[in-house]
Amino acid sequence: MPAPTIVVKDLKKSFGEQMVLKGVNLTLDSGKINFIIGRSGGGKSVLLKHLTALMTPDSGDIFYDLFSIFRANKKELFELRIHMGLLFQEGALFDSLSVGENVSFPAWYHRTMKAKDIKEKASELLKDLGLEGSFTRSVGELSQGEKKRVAIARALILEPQVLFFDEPTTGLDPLLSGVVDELITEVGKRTGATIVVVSHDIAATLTIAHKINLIHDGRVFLSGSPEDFKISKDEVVKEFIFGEDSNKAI
Amino acid sequence: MSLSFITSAIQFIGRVALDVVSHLGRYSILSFRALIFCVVPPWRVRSYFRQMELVGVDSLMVVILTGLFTGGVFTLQIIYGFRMFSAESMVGPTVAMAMTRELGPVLTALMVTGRVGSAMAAELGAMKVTEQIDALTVMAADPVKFLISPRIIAGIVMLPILTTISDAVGVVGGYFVAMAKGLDPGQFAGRIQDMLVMDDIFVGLIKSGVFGFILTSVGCYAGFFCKGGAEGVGKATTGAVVVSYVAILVGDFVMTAYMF
Ligand SMILES: Nc1ncnc2c1ncn2[C@@H]1O[C@H](COP(=O)(O)OP(=O)(O)O)[C@@H](O)[C@H]1O
Ligand SMILES: [Mg+2]
Repeated sequence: MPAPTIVVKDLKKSFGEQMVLKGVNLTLDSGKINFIIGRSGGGKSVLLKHLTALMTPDSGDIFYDLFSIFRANKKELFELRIHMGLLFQEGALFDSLSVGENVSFPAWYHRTMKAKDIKEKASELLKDLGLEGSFTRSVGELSQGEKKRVAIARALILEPQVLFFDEPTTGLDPLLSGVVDELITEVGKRTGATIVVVSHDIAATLTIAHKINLIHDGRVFLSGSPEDFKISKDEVVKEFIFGEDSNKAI
Repeated sequence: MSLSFITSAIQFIGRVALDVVSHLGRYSILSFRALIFCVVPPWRVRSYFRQMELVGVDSLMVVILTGLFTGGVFTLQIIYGFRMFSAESMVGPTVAMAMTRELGPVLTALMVTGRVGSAMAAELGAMKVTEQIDALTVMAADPVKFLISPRIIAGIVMLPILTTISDAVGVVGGYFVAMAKGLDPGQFAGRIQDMLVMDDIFVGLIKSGVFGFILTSVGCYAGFFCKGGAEGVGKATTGAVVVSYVAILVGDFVMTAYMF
């Protein structure tokens, strides 16, 4: 499967009375690093769960190239998910397995490589993320930041063609954030995957994003390049890029 | 006023009925899928054996203790009555029959529910609320096949084995009590062989297989559909135990009354 272009069409989702997505329209470019930003509680994680077909919308649709993921049958969805990687905001590591087993899990489950190669690949990923020698540690003893990085390694092991990261650098110190940002860029270049990153880290967003989508009040408020965002005169956008005090500063 | 009371009562009954039906529906679909997946390759044999170890081997001690004391106390109770009619030779067969047909299967199932059914609800519930189950789904690893099928099969396979052990230990417990109460070994054991027929044992084993299915599938269902953080996991766990207990006892009655 080549890296798809993902198109979200008028996606709506409510939980009880609360309408979280009020008609989201956006395009996530093939082989590019697409960012999704917006205030906390604005529905970014919910949007990612729709993009991975973990949730079904009240209305609207999502297309991977021309293929609707909500009309796909079980087998088609299976094929799609083999090429999909998702980093959950909270990691969602399997706490009954060790660090190494967690990272190896997708490859082990789908028997895509020999056991020896899986171990090698998993160790290499852990090393890239500053977790050398953690292979046999148990998940329970990891810090939040370590968990996040193990989960990133797990999302990468099958070298998927579509990668979703839900706040990959939240909870990491600046040094490690830099390492993760670099890794995302490097993976994008090497595998040509379509990458989608939900982030609060404006500096990283403006440096590594090819395209940024700002979610505001359940809709896409602005979609464009980092340049577009930097020069925007809109209050909502400025608040995100320059922080709450942008008015006073000017 | 009385009218609004009636309508609200009807609404309440309706809501409860809908709730029950929707639970039953989802439960049936989940169990059915889990059973179907058992016969669809590829199999992860290791996770089946792991669950059999958890359900079977790890429950051995508690099942042996329960069986031993149940057989013992049952003998203690009946021995006086049987003495009155000089029916001492019937004590052994009665204990053996009660253990294999009723006490062994039911008590083993109740003990294993407390140990294993609740643990399954808690484990799957925790996996649900920390999104580990969603993580499996996104990795194209079907959580029903990967998590639930091995647990249900472990229950169906291991409960009859545990029950057989419980039956045997219960008769041994009865034997010791009978000896202490002055029966001699021949009196106790002599007629067990010609009174206890193979059917008694089969009845017990079929029952225990059904109980094994009930306690694992209910535990998994409660965990799999649990909501609302740590509190939700707690509720799922107690709910699973209560529902399993009731289902096992009702199921036992129905099977005894209509099938055997
Ligand atoms: N499964 C759910 N059930 C009910 N409400 C939910 C669920 N998932 C998310 N929400 C609500 O949707 C809103 C958006 O959540 P989320 O997407 O996690 O925000 P964020 O943009 O910070 O990732 C929140 O108010 C959250 O409480
Ligand atoms: Mg979020």
